[in-house]
Amino acid sequence: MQISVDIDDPIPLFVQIIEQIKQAVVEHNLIPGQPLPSIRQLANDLNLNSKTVAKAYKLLERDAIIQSKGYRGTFIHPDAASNCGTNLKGLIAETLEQAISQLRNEGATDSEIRIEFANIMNNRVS
Amino acid sequence: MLETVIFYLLFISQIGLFSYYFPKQLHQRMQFVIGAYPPEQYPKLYPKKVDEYHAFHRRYWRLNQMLMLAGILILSVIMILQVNVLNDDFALIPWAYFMVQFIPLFMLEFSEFNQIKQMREHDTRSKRTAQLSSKGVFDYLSMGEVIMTALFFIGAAGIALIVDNPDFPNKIEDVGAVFVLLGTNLFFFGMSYWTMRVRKFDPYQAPEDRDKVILTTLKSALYTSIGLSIFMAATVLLDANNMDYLMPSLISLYCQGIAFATLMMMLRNLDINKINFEVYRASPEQNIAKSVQQ
Repeated sequence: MQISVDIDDPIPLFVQIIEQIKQAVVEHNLIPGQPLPSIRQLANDLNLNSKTVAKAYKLLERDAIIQSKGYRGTFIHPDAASNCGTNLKGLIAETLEQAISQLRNEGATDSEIRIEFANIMNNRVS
Repeated sequence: MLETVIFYLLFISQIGLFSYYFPKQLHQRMQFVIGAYPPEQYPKLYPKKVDEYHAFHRRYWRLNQMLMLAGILILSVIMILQVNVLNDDFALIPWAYFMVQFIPLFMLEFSEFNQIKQMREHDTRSKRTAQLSSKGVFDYLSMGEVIMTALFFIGAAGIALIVDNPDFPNKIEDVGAVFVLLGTNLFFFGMSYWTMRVRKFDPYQAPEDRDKVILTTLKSALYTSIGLSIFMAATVLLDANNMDYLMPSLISLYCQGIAFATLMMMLRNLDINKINFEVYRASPEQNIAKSVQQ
């Protein structure tokens, strides 16, 4: 099973990695318990910064697509196939759409919503 | 007299094997690649001008011929002057000659390293590919092979400890041989890890060919480790039994044994007819650029 990234593609590199691993899980090219290359090895093979691969692995681990077992390495999560169905991107879009339409109905302008959204996000980050 | 004849035969074998037979095989291999996969059709394989490769191949072959002549000269001097080859001090000669015989091979390795470095620099593809699988040592080697190597190491270390230390296990003073064994095996371990886990050097190499390279490196390390264990145990035993006069023959035999095993394995596992050279073929973009230039 091969993975490929295109550095000229506008889609961020870590997203390309995530999408391909998820796709491989859905198509059963990667099965639960199957070992994945280490962050360093995959970064070396793809000639990418290891932080890019680490970010992809971190997000995949958060979504329970992969699981890290310390020194033994990284493996495909036992529930990876069902977890691939969880569309976080879709969930975020749906939730925000509901919130924004509710705020508009209450009379808030788009710029007010943007400013408050940015403030909340900035406060959370800091 | 018999020991002297055995040494002469071993030294002749050392000259023939490493300054004629293997260099000839490698030279033919290099010439075959340029002939069968020419730069016009496989430009990715040749970051330098083709004349530079031909010049290097000539230099490599001439150097080996010179070393073969040097070996014949050394042996002739030994035989004419009837030098006593049956003493421990003489062991340095086959060893030093072996090291010199390996200079062309180091030259080849260095050239290959530079070649791959230039291939990486010339690689302008935006799409990068990697294998999404993790392979461990046991995907390449069997458990039996690893256990056997470990047993040889333990056996040799045990013999060295017992023979070199008369009061073993109460008093252990001489652990030189054990340190040599340990250090060399750690080096092999590091080399194997590096080959398996570190960046793939050739940017175009097919995954199955990379697997073959890793397999060859691991097996070479394994057999060299076994060879070293046998050699160290034999050295200690010869020394303890006042049979130092066999050391020159033993060293020549050892050098030939490990080099024969590793080079033969390389030639066999990395069979030139089974390597995927299609990955080095000109890409459509390169063909278009070429036709525009014409």
